Amino acid sequence: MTLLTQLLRNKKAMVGVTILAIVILVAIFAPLLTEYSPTQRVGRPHQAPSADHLLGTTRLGHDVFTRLLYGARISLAVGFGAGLLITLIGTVLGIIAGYKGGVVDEVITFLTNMVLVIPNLPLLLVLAAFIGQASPLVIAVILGFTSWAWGVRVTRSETLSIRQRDFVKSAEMLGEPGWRIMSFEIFPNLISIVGINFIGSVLFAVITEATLEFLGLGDPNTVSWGIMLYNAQNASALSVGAWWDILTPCFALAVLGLGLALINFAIDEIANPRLRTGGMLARWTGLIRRGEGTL
Amino acid sequence: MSDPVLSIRNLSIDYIGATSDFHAVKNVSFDIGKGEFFGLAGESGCGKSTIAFAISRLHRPPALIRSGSRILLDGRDVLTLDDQALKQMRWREVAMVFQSAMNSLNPVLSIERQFYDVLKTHTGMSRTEARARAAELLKLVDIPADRLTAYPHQLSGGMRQRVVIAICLALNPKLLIMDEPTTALDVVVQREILERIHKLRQELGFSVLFITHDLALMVQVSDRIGIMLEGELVEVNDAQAIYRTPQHDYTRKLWASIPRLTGKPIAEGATQ
Amino acid sequence: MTDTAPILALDNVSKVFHRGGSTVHAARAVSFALHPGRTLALVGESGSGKTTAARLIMREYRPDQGRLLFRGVAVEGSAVRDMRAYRSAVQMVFQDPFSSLNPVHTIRYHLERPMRLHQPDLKGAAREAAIAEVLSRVKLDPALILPKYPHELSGGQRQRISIARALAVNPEVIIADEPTSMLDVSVRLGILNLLNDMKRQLKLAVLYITHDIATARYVAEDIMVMYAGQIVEWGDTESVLGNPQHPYTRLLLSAVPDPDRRFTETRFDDELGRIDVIRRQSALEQSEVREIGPNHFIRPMPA
Repeated sequence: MTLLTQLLRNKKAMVGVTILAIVILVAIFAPLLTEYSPTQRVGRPHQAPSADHLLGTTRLGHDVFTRLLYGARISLAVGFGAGLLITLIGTVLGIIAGYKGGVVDEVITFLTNMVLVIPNLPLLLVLAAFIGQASPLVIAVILGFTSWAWGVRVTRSETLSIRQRDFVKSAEMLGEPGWRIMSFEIFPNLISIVGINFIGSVLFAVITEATLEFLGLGDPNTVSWGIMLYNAQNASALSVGAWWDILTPCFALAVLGLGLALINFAIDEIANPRLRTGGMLARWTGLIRRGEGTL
Repeated sequence: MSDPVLSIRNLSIDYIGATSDFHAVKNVSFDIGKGEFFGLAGESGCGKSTIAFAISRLHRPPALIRSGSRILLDGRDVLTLDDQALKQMRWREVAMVFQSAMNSLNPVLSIERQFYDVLKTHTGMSRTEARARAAELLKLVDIPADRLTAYPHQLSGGMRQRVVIAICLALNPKLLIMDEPTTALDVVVQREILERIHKLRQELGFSVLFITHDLALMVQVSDRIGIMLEGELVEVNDAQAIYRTPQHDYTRKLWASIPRLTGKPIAEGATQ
Repeated sequence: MTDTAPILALDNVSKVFHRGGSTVHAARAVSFALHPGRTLALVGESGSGKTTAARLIMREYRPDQGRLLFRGVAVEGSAVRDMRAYRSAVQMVFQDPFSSLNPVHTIRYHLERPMRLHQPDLKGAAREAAIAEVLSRVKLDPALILPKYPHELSGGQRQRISIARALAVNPEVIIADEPTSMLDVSVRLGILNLLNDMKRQLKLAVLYITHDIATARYVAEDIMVMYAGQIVEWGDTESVLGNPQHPYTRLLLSAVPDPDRRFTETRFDDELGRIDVIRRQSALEQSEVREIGPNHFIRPMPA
């Protein structure tokens, strides 16, 4: 059974994929789902949710629902962009280090460890502060180039174990070139690790982008969930009772995070059959209870 | 057979799956007499190790020993024992040596300490008593007593396997189960170990359930042999009869596919 | 041994490994030659150096001393073109059928790659026919097998694919490293028969590495017994196994399970009584070679 059909049969994966699909569709069709523009004043400040404004308005009179829909675009773009970059660097360096070994491995491992010991968030804060009011693109690029180390570690150690298998030796003895062994013999065996790395990185990037923006390091003119949080906080939304202003982006981030995490659990379950107990254990317990056998 | 040590009756074991079950052992019955060396042979997946695990009650879910099965050890059904009674039974009545047993020794404890742990838990022996008993047991398996202070990594694979066997014999069990005990070892070492077991069971009188895929070896050491095929016990007979006058087609096929060291390279009528 | 010139030979090869403070002599003055249409068996316990010999031939290791000769010419350096010629002549069949095939690729991929690499002129229908031919050599049905993945096959079928893959480069030499030790008894013979067929029909030279002496007798014309990196006895298989002269060979043979003998009776009883002495003495270096008979030699054990 391929990874895809297995994913389709997994309940966690289905819930996760559904959540992600809804967020993606919302992002794509945002203009069709709302009549307002996300950057224009469309009502009086801090109006409670109503038929006109489903999730109320901000202090500047922006429609919260509209900003939520459009904000999904930025969150997803930064998440997937940075996630892709992180996974790409991590996978390529990890496979090369694990397969080539020797000096190449030592150099890559040294670089990786160096990046790993620098605490990520403070570094991002410093970088973002240095750049000042970073646009989403800049945030994605910074995240991409500072967060790949974990991926290298995991990919490298998995490559080391696959490299010991006889099919790699056999390919070498057939005279397959190194790049082919790495990309056609080893890489396909790492798909689940790469998948977990990718989804995890997307999740990390989405949350980190929101964090940076919330702390005021983003460009306040962007329409994103992080900036929504930042503006709501600046407007003391909670203390004036405008809970919709601050809870909406919080909830959106939590739901997207949940969806991504569920997908990750599912991939992990499929890649490690030992984590899969499901129906088997339930049936076993039932049989024991009915006295049909013993251990 | 009068008064068998182990008597297995209608043993059925399934591995429970999400939708269907795998029948690993199907209605198997056999006896092992006092002091008897009984061999259970078959290919991978035939259920021979599953039986060994059931006798020691070492199974974990999703294995399920079907009700109606009985495993009588000295007349007592081990399938009805509670945890406390099982603890008493293991080591004292049944001891088990696995293929990988030599790797089951604790690497940070000396050999003496590993004997002491078993002896103290089950008999409450003091340190000095345990040391004397351990030296005695090591001598049984041809290891000089001065190796008591050694750590597992200082011994060869064959020596470690013999240490495990010595620990298994520490409480004079009635039945020693050996599941491919020498498969990972070289033939000379295998020969040394099995010869030792052969002599020891004559001296000490325990019974042996020996599990292996190596039929030639099995005929050399066993009194009686059972042949398993896909969960069923298809033939049980004296070792010599299994070798010289096999009754079941499968037994004949097995013999026909084993190249020989002397005489004709393979038996007549060998198949692809 | 034979009139034909050897395809591949090790000439007085030594290899020493330094681990921690100790040195391991994995190969000591090892010499042997592989001839077309013949199988040479290399038997020994684990750690005797038989896998090192395979790795020297597969050029995973370089010898410390001595030479590897391919068609009479010393193989040195690693020029890409020379390596390619060597790889398409010398192939290997591995021990573990569950690790030697890549789980993510179909059987078709496993057979197509060696053909693309070593017979690039074969294209389309011609390559398809060549794949069908190697599969029929290992007695598998192409239509059924080609689209399958390794996990859908049994151990015996996988080992046949492993042999077919080696054949797909049109090799002259096959190194088979314990090819049956991880298979069930009832499928072993099929694989051994396959090795015998290949040897006869394709005039392949085979090095059969094993610890199972009975299977060596079934496939090999010549046999070598290795201990502690040294070949202690070698020559015609029937002569070496029927009239063993080195104490270590006799020890090994008396330890091999034999259903015709109970434990109380053995072929060479005194050897089993002095295992430690034989082990210790046989591990010493011995440069003297004694001829026992036509094509039968030993390195006598130092007294």
